[in-house]
Amino acid sequence: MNTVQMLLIAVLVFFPRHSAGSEPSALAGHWIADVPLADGKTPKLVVDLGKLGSRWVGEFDVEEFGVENYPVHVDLSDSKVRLHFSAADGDFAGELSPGGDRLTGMLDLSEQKIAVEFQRVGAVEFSESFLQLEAAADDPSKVQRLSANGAELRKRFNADRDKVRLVMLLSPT
Amino acid sequence: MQQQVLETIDSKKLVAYAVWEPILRTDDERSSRKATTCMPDKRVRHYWVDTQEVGKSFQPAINLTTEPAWDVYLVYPPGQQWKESTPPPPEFLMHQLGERLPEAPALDGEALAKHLQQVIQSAQ
Repeated sequence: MNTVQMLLIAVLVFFPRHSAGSEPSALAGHWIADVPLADGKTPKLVVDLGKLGSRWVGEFDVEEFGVENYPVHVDLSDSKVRLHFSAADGDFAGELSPGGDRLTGMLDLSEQKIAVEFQRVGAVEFSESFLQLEAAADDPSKVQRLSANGAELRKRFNADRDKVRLVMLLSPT
Repeated sequence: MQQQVLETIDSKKLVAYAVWEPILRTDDERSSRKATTCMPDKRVRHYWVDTQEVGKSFQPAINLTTEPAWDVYLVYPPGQQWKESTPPPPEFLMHQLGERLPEAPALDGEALAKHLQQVIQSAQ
């Protein structure tokens, strides 16, 4: 076995080929899919996907329903592209076509599972408001971490005892 | 909340605490930082807690049995203190939990603002 063969084996052992769907760089873009709903309507689902820093992020619009600039949670942890549309309580799981211009899979809207095919129609177009939110997400000063027993809140609550206090317990999404 | 409540009450007698907690599967610290942008009022302190323990600790205070307290808005007048390990019951509350909290009113921003104004005025 010559040196070149040994190097080739070393490369194959230590740097195995990524599976087709694992973080495909071709995912970035402006995607549109028709979503045929059970009520006969077929709204267009517009999704922008891209990478900010090391993180895949996305936002979506459904103009027909007045939905605009809502976030998409992007998961590329296995061979599939998984998108979670929290505002629509929907999940998509699919794969990129070999050419990278189509994203096909199933959209699960809890009451209906729909086969959809996204077509990439251009480059990613994140809205200004979306980018502002992503910047906020990167800013650790936006929130103070609480201990599980809420000690910091309790201390603040008592320190503000001469004021009217409004306590809001909320889900961020 | 920002427009209907906080912006209508021009008083330093009011403070608010937004406790962002993991209820839905997409809830995490990053999303809590994003959520702060919907309440930029300087009287609001924003907290993130990565367990549901704080929400659970508020359950007895509002007679909620089905889940950790979330989507709830609790009003405390001046003088009330948090002495025990569990929070004290609020003087007034509103929520978005539907039938899971049937005895308390559903969130109505204008009504909440009006109530807060009354509590502030009676404290002066």
